[in-house]
Amino acid sequence: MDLSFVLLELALNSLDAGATLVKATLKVGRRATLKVKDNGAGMDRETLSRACEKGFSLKGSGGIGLYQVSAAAEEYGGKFSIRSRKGKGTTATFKAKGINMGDVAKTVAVLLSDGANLILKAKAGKNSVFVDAKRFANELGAPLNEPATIVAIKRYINENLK
Amino acid sequence: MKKSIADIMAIRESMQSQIILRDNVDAEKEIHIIVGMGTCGINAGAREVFNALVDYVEEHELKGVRVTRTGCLGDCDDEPMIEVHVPGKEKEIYKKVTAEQAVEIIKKLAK
Repeated sequence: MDLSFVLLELALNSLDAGATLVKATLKVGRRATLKVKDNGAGMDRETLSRACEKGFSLKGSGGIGLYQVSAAAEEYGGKFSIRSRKGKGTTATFKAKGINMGDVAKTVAVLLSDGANLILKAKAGKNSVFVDAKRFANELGAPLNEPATIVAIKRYINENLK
Repeated sequence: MKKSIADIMAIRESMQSQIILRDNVDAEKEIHIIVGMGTCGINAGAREVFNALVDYVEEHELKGVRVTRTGCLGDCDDEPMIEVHVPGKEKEIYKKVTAEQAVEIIKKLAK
């Protein structure tokens, strides 16, 4: 598990909860922090209390995604927490020490394909990127989930976030 | 923000491919590839498979092929799985697909 996979798990949950906007902030150094905030359906108290339980899922599938994320936070001496309100969206925060960044561009490619807007601010040492996918797509004159848009954004991330 | 817009425009200009405007694509003739992207799929390499497919569509400017993701496709032990929907044909399911195999599949479809 690296940060790019944590981002994928969290943001896919956002999209599956109907989010039209996902804001992700990533800071990578000796300590890493990843925050994913969405405007999706949110969770009630009971669902939230069970969200990281192994085998618990609202999608009728495995129920291992958030369990894996919280296990990774523990493994890397960090913490994983979720704040959520039904109807108001969810904010998930992942903190860890010494975890690899992984391939953020490949994760972003998957997230963009749904057509929802993604805003990503990422900083790794001196390098940083700022992706406002909808604005990028407008500038490029192409839909957000068009392969040419996705590949351009991937290259932008790979060139600027090393 | 200004800098990132300038960066992305410069990258786009350096790319060879044309932007495909799907409004002009006949949806009934479109090939649709769906990648299972549940946690089981992701752990088995679905993100790499997905990226290989999108990169191929962009590089070869395939107008009639759409790549999307879905959740778990049901057989966690057989992930990464992809579904291929070709208009007028039965749906095909490929199991334990690698990025290289995904490219071979899309190459044949695009012929």
